[in-house]
Amino acid sequence: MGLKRRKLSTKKTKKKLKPRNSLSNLPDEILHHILSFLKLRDIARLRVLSKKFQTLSATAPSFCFSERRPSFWFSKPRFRHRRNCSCAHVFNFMNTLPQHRSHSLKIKRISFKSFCDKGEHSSLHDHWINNLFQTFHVEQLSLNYQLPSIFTSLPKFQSLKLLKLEMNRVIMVKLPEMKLTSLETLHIMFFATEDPVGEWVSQSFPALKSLFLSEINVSWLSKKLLDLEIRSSCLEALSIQKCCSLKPVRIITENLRTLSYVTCPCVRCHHNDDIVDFRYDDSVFEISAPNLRRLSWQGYAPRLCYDARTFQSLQVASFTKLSLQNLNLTIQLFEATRRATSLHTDTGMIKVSS
Amino acid sequence: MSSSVEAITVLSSDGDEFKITVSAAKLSKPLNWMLEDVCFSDDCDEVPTIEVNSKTLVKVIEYCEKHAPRANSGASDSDAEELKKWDIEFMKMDVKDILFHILMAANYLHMEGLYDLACQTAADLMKGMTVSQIRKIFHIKNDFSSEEQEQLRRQHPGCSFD
Repeated sequence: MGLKRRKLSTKKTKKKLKPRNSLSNLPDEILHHILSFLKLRDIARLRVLSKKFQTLSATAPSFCFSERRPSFWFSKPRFRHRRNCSCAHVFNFMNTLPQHRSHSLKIKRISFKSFCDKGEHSSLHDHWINNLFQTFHVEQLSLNYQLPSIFTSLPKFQSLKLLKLEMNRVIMVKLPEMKLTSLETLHIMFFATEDPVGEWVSQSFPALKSLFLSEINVSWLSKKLLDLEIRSSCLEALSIQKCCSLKPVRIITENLRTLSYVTCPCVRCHHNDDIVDFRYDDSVFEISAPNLRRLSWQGYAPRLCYDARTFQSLQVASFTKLSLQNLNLTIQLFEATRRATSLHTDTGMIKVSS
Repeated sequence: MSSSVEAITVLSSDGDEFKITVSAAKLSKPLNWMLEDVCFSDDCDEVPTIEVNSKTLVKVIEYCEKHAPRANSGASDSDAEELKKWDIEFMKMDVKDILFHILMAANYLHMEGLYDLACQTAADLMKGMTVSQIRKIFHIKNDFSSEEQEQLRRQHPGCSFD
C-alpha cells in the first residue's frame, strides 16, 4: 500500500538495539540502573564476575548499606544473615573503592537501611561513611531506620553538598542541629518529635525548594499537639500527609507553587484497654502564599484561611464532612474556583446556597 | 474523519503492524511527542517504526495497556496492589530471550515504570545467586586470566567463585 515508514527517533537514541544475549552487552547506563537496585554486599560481589563488572561495580551510581535488623526483631533462623562488616569481600570493596573509582565521579545516592547493632562494627562503618563522603561528591542521602547516632557518624554536615535528604523512621527525640545550604529537597517520613519542625526546616535548609512531610507526630502518649509553621522563602512545593497531631498550621511562603495536603484518616489509641478513635480534623490552617498555583486537598476540611487570588488549579477530593463551622472555607473555596482554570472534585459536596 | 483517534498503528523493527491505544502510547515520552507532532487519522499514510522487535513490542504494549488507566487517573490502593501482582506475573519471562530486550526497549522508549520494573527484576535475579549461577543466567563470560582469578580469590576470601 506504499506506506511511508518513518523512524521514531529520539534526541538520545539512534543506536541499534541488539542486546545479543548477554548482560555484558547492554549499555553501561542500563547496567548501572540495575546495580542501583542492589545492596552493597551484592554490588561488591559482582566484582569477580568479569572485567566489565569489576569496573561497573566500582562506578556504581548509588550505594545502599543494609544490615538485617537486630536479631531480636526476627527470631526465625532464616533471617539470620551474615553482616556486611564481617564479609571480607564487602570489607575489601569498601577499602579499595577510592583507588578504583575516579574521585570526580559523583555518587548519586547513599542510603542506609538499618545498621549493624554490634559495637565493634560501628567504627568500621563510620570509617567507610566518612571515606565516601570525603572522597566523593554525594548528591542524595537516604536514612532509614537509623538511631540518632547516625548524625555523629556522618561527617560535619556543613561540608556536604547534598541536594536531597530523605529521613524515614529515624528515631529522634530532639531534632539534630545542622545546616545544609545546598539542600533542595527534603523528605521526612514517620517521625515523632515535640520540637518545632517548621522552624528547624527553615533554619537548617535555607535553600530548600521541595518539602515532603508524612506522618509527623508527637509521641503517642503526649497530649500536646504539634505546631507547624513553615516560613522557608525558597520553598516551591510542599506536601503534608497524614500528620495527625497538627494543631495550628501556618504556611507563610512567598514562592510556594504547589501545596498538597492529605488528612490523617484517624488516630487509634489504646487507652485503658479501650480503643479510642481520635480525629484532629479541626486544625486551623493559615496559608499565605501569593504565588500558589496548585492546591490539592484530600480528606476532611479543616478551618482554612486563605486568600485565593492566584489559583490556577484546585483539586479537592472527598470532602466527607462539611459542617457549618467550615462554611467559611466553603465560600472561600468557591471563590477560588471562580478563578481557577481547572477544577476537580470527587464529591458533589461543595454546594453553596445563597 | 474524526481527528481524535483512539488507537494508532506502529511497525516493529521486524515490519509487523501493531495497534496501540493513544492513552497507552502516552506512557512513552517519545511516542507522546510523536502523537503531539503528527495528526493520526485514518487517512494518514505514515506508519511510524519502533526499533523494537515484534516479540518485545507485544510485551511492551501489553504493559502499556495495563498501566495506562492508572497513569491517566489516580487509582485506589487496592488497584495498586492488584497491579503490583500483575507486574510480578508479567515479569516472569526468559532472561536472555525477552528481559534484555525489554530493558533496551524501556530505556529507548523512556518508559520509567517498565524500566524500573525490568531493572528490579534483573537485580532480584542476582541476589542470592552464586557467582557461577549469575554468569550462567546472564551469559557473562569470565574473562579473567588464571592469575587474576587467583588474586581475586585472595582478595575475596569466603566468596564462592563457582
